[in-house]
Amino acid sequence: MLLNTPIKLGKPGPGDHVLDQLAAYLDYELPEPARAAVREHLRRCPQCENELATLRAAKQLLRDLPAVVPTRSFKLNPDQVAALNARPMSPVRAFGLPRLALALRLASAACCLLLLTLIGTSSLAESTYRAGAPLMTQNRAPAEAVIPTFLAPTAEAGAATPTAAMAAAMGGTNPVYAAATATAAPAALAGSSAYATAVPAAGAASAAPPSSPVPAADASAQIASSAPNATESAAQNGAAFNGSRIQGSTPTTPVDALVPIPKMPALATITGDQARGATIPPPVPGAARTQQLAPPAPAEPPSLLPWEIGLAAAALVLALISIPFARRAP
Amino acid sequence: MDEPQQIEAAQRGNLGAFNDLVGTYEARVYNLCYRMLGQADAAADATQETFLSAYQAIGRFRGGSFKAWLLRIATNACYDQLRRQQRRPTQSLDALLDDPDHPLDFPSTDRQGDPEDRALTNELSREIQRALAGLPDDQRLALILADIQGLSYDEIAAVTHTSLGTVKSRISRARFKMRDALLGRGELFRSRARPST
Repeated sequence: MLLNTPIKLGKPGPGDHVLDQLAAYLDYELPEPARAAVREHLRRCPQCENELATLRAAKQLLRDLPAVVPTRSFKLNPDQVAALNARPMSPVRAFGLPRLALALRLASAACCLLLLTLIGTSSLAESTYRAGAPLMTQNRAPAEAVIPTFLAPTAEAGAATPTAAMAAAMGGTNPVYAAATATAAPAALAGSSAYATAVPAAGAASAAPPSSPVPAADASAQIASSAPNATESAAQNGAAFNGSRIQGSTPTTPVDALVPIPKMPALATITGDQARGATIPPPVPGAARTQQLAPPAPAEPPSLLPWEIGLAAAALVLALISIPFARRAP
Repeated sequence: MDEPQQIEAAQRGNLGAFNDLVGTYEARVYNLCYRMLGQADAAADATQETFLSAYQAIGRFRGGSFKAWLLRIATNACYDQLRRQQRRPTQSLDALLDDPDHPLDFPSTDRQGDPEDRALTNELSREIQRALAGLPDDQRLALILADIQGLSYDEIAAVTHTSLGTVKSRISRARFKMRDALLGRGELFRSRARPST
């Protein structure tokens, strides 16, 4: 006999016993293929047959158990109904949601989790804002980093496209640089409206690339500091269009960490006449747009938003509601 | 008035119609509570609580099996009682079963039969009740619903709010445990456990 054999759960193999199927077999709760398989196994396995017999006997004993007669009637009388109306019903059962208290608590926990995630994300964004801005400038692609320096004076001169101005400044000595600038200029212009709201630039010198949170003048200063023989020219260039802001800046970016910037003549020497004198294509429509960029408002570190406060309030309210429900739950 | 009409009338606040339903189901509910709790008084309290709760909630009954709905409420009442018993342990089940003030009342034909047979049946009933009491609550409930109340696995799943697989597993485990407990207690069971030829 297998009387003390532990019940084996899972689908039986061809040679395995079918102990876990016997109860359902006995109750006619097995689908026909499984029932036929159990029947076939029982035919050649006396051990399982014996198990089935003892289980059948236990079931029969329970079925034959005489019914217990209640000692009194449980019909309700009007007094009980009146008392029942005065008795507050358990809200859990009243709403037909036996796990309402649990659901409320889970919802509250979810709100708290979401809130913490958002706050964490905001903090991360803030730290990125504080520490990551110079890094972003360093990692910028060459064309992106350099173009603003040239865009600004060109736009100020109002006579040549950025590409043409740079080409004039380069004097055609570095075709790679010129090509990079030529391809990057439209991109910078295309994104100008996006960064105009985010970049705290100063006047027309705001030719920083899109998505840069650094003031354009500062970016120009950093770029200028990284370029050999260009520091002074960039500062002068910025000063020419941006007042004295750049002059006090202290370049800190290591030169080797930045993209190589070719030698170029001092931008301060580029005048509108020189630009006009060069052989240039027709003006790019975006040039005028660059000039019209509104001075972006200074970006502020992220702070708690109304919907974050709302989430916190929702979590609190859900948790408070769950208290009486949990108390009255059975 | 058939059952759907009784339910409809009870939902409109007709106490008489609701009491007709009570009359139909009170023995079944009481037996479930008694087998779950093992004490007549606790079973009576749970049964009364079941019908009070059902009267309160019948307005929200949306069809389906009224029996399963009622047994679900009875199951909750039993679990409430079990929690109270755990908080206030009083007498052991064995002491209650042997208490002459709370004799088990068997309205079966055995009452009119041979006194020796009646004694044997009573003894066997006590053994079965002890074995039932030794099962975990969820397994005991599944076994009572299947073997004493005669519910199908689908109905048990509806009453207990569990899956069919869970019901199957609980009944299987409970039946093996019952078999083992009874095997260790009585020759009467052994005589019934002989394989059929």
